[in-house]
Amino acid sequence: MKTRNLPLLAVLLLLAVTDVSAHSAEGLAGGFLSGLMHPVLGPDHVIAMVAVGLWGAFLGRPAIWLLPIVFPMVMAFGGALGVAGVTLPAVETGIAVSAIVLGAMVAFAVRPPIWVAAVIVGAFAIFHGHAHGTELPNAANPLAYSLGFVIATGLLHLCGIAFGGLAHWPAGKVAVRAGGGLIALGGFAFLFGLA
Amino acid sequence: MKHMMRLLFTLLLVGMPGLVLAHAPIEGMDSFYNGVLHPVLVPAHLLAIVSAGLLIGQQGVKRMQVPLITFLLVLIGALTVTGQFDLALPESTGEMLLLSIAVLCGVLVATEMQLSLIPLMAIATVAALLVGFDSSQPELQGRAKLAILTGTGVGGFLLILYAAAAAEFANRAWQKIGIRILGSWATASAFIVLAFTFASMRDL
Repeated sequence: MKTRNLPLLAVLLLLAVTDVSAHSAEGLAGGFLSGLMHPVLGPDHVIAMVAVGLWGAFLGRPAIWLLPIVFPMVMAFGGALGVAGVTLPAVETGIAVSAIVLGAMVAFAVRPPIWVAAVIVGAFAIFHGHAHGTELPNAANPLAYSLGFVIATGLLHLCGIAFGGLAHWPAGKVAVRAGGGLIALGGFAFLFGLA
Repeated sequence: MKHMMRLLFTLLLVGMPGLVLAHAPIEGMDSFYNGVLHPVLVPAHLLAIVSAGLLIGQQGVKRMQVPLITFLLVLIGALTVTGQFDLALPESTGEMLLLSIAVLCGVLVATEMQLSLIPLMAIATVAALLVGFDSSQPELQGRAKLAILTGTGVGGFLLILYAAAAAEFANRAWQKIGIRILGSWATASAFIVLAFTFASMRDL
C-alpha cells in the first residue's frame, strides 16, 4: 500500500476506534445487558420464573407479593454461593425440577400455607441464583450484571403475575392451570434433555 | 522524508483517541453534567442512594424531611473535603461499604421497617459520606473539578429525593408492594457483588 493512502487509513481507524474506547460506559451497559439477558435467554429459567409469579397470583394475597420478594433475596444467597466457588450438586437438574414442581402446584391448584410456599420457592431460588452467580465473574461489570439479572428475574415474575391475574374469572382459572401444566411439561423436557 | 512525516502523522492520529476518550464517563459532555450523572452511572452509588431514599420515603412525609436535609448537608461537606484535599476511599473499600449500605437499606425497605429519626439520620449520614468520599476526581483541577463535584452533589441529592418521593407517593397497596420489591432487588444485587468482592479478595 502506498504511504499517501495512510492518512485515509488513519481516518478510517479513528472512526473504528470510537466504538471500543468508551470502555467505562460500555462495560456498564454490556454488563447490565448480559445480566438482563441471562435469565431471559435460558428457557428453563424463564418458565420457572413465570411459574413463581403465576403461583403467587393464583394463591392471592399475601403470596402474590411475598414470593417475588423472597425469591430474589434467597436467589442472592445462591448467587453468593456461586461466586464464592461453592459447588452445588445438580444445579441444572434443580432448575428443571423447579419448573416441574412450581408448574404442578399451579396445575393442581395446590394451596399450601404461605410459609410452605415461601420455603419451596426459596429452595429453588438457590439453584437459579447459583447458575447466575457462576457467570458473574466473567461479566464486564459485575454489579451491572447482577442488577440486570435481578431485574430480569423480577420482570419474569411480573409476567407470571399478569397471566395469573386471569384466575379471577372461571375460564381464566382454567387457562392459568393449563399454563401451569405446560410449565411442568417444559420442566420434564429440560430434565430429560428433550429441550 | 515526506513519507516518513506522513507515517509519523498517521501513527500520532491513531494513538490520539486512546488518550482523550478513556478517562471520563461520557465524552463530549461538560464536567457539571458528568457530575450530575456520576451517581447514576456508578452502580454502587445508584444502589446505595436509591435504597436509602426508598427507606427514608417509606417513613412518611413528616419523618423524611430531616434525614433528607442531613443527607444534603453531609454530602456537601464530604464533597467539599474531597475536592479540597483530594481524599478518596480505596476503590474496593468504597464499593463494599456502599453495597453494605444498599443491602441494609434494601432489607429494611423489603420488610417495610418503620424507624425512628436517629437511625434514619445515621443511614443518611453514612450514605452521604460514602458517596462524597467515593466521588474524588484527582485528575481534574480548578473549575472543572468544582463543576463535576457540584454536579455530583446535585445529582446525588436529586436521586435520593426522587427515590424518597416515589416511596412516599406510593399509597395504594400494589404501589407499596412495588417499593418493597425494589428493596429486595437492591439487596439481592448488592449482596451477590459483595460476595464476589470477598471471594476475589480471598483468592488474591
